[in-house]
Amino acid sequence: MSLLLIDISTFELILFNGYSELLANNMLLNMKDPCNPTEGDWKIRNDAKNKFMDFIEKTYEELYKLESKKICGKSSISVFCRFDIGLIQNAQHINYFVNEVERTPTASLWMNPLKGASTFKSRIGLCGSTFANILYKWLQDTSNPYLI
Amino acid sequence: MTSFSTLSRLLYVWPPVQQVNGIGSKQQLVYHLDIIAVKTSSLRPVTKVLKVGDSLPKDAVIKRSHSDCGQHVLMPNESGRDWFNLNQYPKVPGATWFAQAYVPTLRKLGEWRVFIIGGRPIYTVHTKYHEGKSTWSWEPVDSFYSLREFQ
Repeated sequence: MSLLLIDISTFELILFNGYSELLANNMLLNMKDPCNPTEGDWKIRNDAKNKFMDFIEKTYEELYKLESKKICGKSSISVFCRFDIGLIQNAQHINYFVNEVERTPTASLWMNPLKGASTFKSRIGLCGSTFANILYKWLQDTSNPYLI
Repeated sequence: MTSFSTLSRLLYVWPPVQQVNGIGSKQQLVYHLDIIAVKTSSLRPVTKVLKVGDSLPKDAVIKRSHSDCGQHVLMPNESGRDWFNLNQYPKVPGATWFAQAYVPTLRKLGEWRVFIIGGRPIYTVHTKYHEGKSTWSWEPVDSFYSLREFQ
């Protein structure tokens, strides 16, 4: 395994140009509903979903590695976390970005039905059962004195 | 924190006690997200730690570490953006204030909240804050616009 040392100040030159560099075009700001498009070519929708999930997965993997290296152990995000994703724009590009990572028991779950939305099906059962299984595995691993 | 640490000798605590302060401080998270943004060729809003007495940038969002659920956040043009007011908040050991570039799309278009359990995205919900009503709306997400369509 190789060891790579990077001077973080080079990153700062790329990222930190000032507080007012961010833009938002009128079309973007005037969009009424930026989620769940009901029209458009299936391939475009499929590629868009893959691109969003690809961003989430790559960011999660990198964050897990960075946090786990820092603590020389498993980052708690491997059990549960919530990525809050926004859209960000500069002169050339629009990208997704991670605005916040929540990972404590106080994280809002946004799973209650909306008032008046009779067709809303809560996913609390899906998330709760998955979390229970993963937390149980984490407990087993943590309490196992022979697991390296 | 000391009694919490003592308690964790008797019980299993999640998130692990030794990670709690790193999670709360947010500095480490911002630093890591900036590195990842460079690596994945994406963008990040400028975020800088403020020391008591530093001038507070007018066009930036002021927010505090060791806080969640939208607490301790002051938007541009909101009242109370001065150190006298910031120092009135109850003191939390190690807590610091940040200035983060204002991202207009966050309030206008909302956010996608992705729940990752066991390393897998399980559920995504889109949320939007309605300024006039001071309420949130949300809906589960199963379809996406491409970034090109947002251009």
